[in-house]
Formats: sequence, C-alpha cells, structure tokens
Amino acid sequence: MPTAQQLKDHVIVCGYGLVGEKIVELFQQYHIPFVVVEIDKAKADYLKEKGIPTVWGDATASRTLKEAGIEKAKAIAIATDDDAKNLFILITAKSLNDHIIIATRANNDIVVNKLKEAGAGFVAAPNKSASDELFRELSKGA
Amino acid sequence: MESPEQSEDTFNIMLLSVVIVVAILLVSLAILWLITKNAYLDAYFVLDAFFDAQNTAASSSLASLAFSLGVFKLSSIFAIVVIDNISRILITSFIFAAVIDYLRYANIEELINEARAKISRSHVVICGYNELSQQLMERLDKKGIKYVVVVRSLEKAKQLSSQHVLNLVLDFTDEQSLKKASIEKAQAVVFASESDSDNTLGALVARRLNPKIKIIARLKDERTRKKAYIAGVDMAVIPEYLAGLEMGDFIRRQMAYNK
Repeated sequence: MPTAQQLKDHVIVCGYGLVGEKIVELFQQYHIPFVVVEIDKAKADYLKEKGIPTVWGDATASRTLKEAGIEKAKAIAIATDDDAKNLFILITAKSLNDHIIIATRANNDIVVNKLKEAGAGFVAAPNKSASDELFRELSKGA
Repeated sequence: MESPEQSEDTFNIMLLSVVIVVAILLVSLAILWLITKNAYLDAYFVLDAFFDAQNTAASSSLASLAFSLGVFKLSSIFAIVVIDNISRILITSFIFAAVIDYLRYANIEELINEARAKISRSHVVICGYNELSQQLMERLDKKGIKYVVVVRSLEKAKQLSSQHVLNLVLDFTDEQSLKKASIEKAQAVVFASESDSDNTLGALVARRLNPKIKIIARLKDERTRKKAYIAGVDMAVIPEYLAGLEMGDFIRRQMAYNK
C-alpha cells in the first residue's frame, strides 16, 4: 500500500461517510489512485486495516492536507456532511494547490453557488440528486 | 387533529356547562317548590322546561297546565313562565356554546384535506416532508402531477398548508392512514422519510393495499435495500450514494480529460 507522500496525481477523498464510501468504491473500480482523509480515529484505523490509504486528521487543517499530498494531487473530493467544513476544506485545498480539480458535497441548496464561487468544479447535493432520480421514475408513469 | 390540550379545554367547558345547567335546574326546582309546595309538579315543570326546548310557545301551555293543576296566583304563573324561559335560554346557550366550541377546535382544513385526498385519482402519495420531498414536490408541480403529502407532525402540516399543499397528518405505516390518502387509486407512493424501517414497513402496507402501485423508497443504509425490495419496493434510492457516484464520476472524467 503506497503512503500518501508516495502518491502523485492522486485524488484526496475527505470524509468516509456514505458519500465518501461510494467515491472510494468507484475509484477502486477504475483503478484511480486515492487517499482518504478521515477525522474519526476508529474509522481511519479500520480503513488502514482494509488496505485503503488513509490519513487520520482534520481535513480543514493545511497540515493534514499536506500529509495527504495535496501539492501533488490531481483532484479532491470533499464529502463531509458539514457544509461550512466543506467550504473551509475547499478554500484550504485551493490555497495549497491552485490547479486542483474540486468536487464537493453540499447538504443545503443555498451553499451550492457559494461553493462554486469558491472554486468547486462540481457540487453534488444528495437530496437534489435523489429527487432528480425519483422524478425521472415518476415521470415514466405520467 | 385536536391536540390533548384542546380536548381537555373542550371537556372542561362541557363539564362546566353541565354543572351550571344542573345547578340552574336545582335552583329552579327549589324556587318552584317555594311557590307551589308541590314537589311532583315542580319536578314536572323543570324537566318539561329542560326537555321541551324546541317548542318556544310551550311556556304558555306550561302556564295553562299550571292553571289546570290549580295554581291560580298570577305571581306563581309569572314565576313558572319566567323560569321556564330562562331554562330554555340556558339550554339553548349550552348547546350553542358546545357547537361553537367544537367548531373552534375541529380542524376544518384537515377535514377538507381528507375529503380532497379521498377523491384523488392517479396521484402520487409522498410520505414524509423533508428537503428531498420538498425538491420532488417542486418538480411534480412543474410537471403538473398531483400529489398528497402524508406527515406525522402538525408543525409540518402547517408548513405545507401555508404553501397550499394537500396534506394529511397520519402515520404512513398504518393501513387505514394510507387508505385515507387514497392509496388504492394512486399511481405511485414515495416513502421519503429518514427512517429505513418506517419506509420499508410503509411499502409493505402499500403493496398489500395496491398491488399495481409503483413504490419508491428513500434509504440510508445499503443493507436495508434487499429488505425493502422484499417488502414490495420497486425502486430504492440512497441520496448520499447518488451524490458520491456523481462526484466520483466527475473527477474520473476530468482526470481522463486532463491526461
């Protein structure tokens, strides 16, 4: 298992909740190199045990992102369930690597534009994604 | 739906009214006894006054009866007529107060909503009100698809009513509740609450009530998916997974493009 420092052109996944879990699953499927940043020690240890490159720490801190190799990373997926935290991580990541590709999660519709203005290339809102899916399904019968 | 405080308030008003009426009847009986010294006759007058409230002209016949029974003093007859009419006024007031009190606390809007839901056809039943259902409702409005929202809390019902959304305050895991939402005539039901177990249970009940209905459930835990499908769900959605897939896919495509 490569350490975060050895990785290059990788993706940093911040937060291993439901969203982060699915992102990791997809990256594993497509053999995209990645490292997870997880604030929960028990969860971080569990991921390490599973052979998933993981940095234990707070992703809002520059030090943690540097430890995850932000300067050499190609992209960052910010997936925590706290919008303010996501914005903070985004700004920190952008200040450490201006060319990084950023995809972030927004739990509230109001912050979507703010996250885009701050430099997010893509903003995913779980409820919006789900309502789109549900509507497509319901429209079939209409 | 009547709250416990409202029920208690109504009960207290009713109880107080009954106590007042009984007290008035007893006082009336006592006054009549002082006039006529005939307890049987007095009891008859009072009960007649109490039960014969519909007949407004009855006071004169009561007076006639008093004459026929030998009560000839003008003051006695006058007292009988006055007490009789006061009793009538009080009884009428009591009934009127009870009706007004019922109307004050009965949620007329809820009754209207139940009637509207009952006649709904080919509609969508949305169980649970949160950001997901809110966004879905906006899309259904644009498409002109009719829907009924079933919620458990009065507070959420008030929010929906203020937006002129047809809503019912019910437990959507209950058969009778789903029947009130006219589930048998609906084209689809969306269980959008944040409880996987409630959504799965609701799906089970809905499937039993309408084998042809399209059932969609929102889930939080992937492990629940299989159980949801067994319960009769046609499509299960985990919002966080969809968002994760979208984010991962965006990064994958961007990385391939920038290579």
